[in-house]
Amino acid sequence: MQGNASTMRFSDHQGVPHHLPCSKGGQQGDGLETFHFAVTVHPSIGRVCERQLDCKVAGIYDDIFAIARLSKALSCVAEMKKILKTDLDMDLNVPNFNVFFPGTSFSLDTARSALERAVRADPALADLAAIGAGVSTDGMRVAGVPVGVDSWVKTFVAKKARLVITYVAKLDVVSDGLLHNQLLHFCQNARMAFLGRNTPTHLLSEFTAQVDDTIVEVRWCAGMALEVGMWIGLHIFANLIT
Amino acid sequence: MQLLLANHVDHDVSDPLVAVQLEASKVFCSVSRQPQFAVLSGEASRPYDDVRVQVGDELARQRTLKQLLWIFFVYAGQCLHYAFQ
Repeated sequence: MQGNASTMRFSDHQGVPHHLPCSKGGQQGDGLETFHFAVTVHPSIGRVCERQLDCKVAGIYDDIFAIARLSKALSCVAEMKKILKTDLDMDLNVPNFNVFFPGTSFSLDTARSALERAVRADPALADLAAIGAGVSTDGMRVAGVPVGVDSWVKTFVAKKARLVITYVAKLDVVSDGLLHNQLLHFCQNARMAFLGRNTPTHLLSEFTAQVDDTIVEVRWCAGMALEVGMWIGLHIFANLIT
Repeated sequence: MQLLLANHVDHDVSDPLVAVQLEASKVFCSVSRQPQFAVLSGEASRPYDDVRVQVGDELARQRTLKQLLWIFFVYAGQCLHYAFQ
């Protein structure tokens, strides 16, 4: 390696190996690539955190969060942006950052102006001049889980439930019963189950019930179709042997 | 995150508690490969962290891998589950 491109060995769908010169990115389709990515990024982020002790940083793969007083959080983020670029050639997209002000009585405009003031006050934060598009005082999504005030979380869950109900209906075109059941169980059911594990029950029970009803209805219809089919089959078989 | 944000009772209006979510673009296909190999080998092959880490310095491989090992085992468990299902 030593700064040069490495050679990636890639086997295609016919098992033929190809050697590709490569200096960036991981192996597409490799299930362990996310793990590999996390191992690579962790030391660089960790070194920044050692210097920014007032800031708590949490992350899962490429979802990184800095939690602290506004000035400290921005200082940490600015340093992280610089270090991730020089160490890993990773670009942080500042206009798409989200800044959540939890539990304050700030309006959206007040929060936005507080953020702008903080960025202007410190010349070291010049890199973050474009920040501010994603200011929120209600909540934010953390690795797919809504965190924030109850009304915001409920709206988020309701929207997600509506989406899942729409997708469940779309699965009607799958004629293979086993495949249909697996898609319901592992794809659609898993979405609400994930939210259910990470969101207070009283905020999502009503919407989960709607999704459950839809899934039960679909499975009941499929079960009935199977039962009727078996009954007709048995009837024909009984006629044949008598 | 929920626990970290729960401690926002005594917020200071002039410098409130915030959570900043960073957005990285196309990270999996843009991250350099050299640091990936450096972390796995446990030794810096070029300077990192604004030259605070020099070539040949030991990288905190053991600690990093130990912290993330549980993800690997969860993933391996899932793979085995689907393979024998």
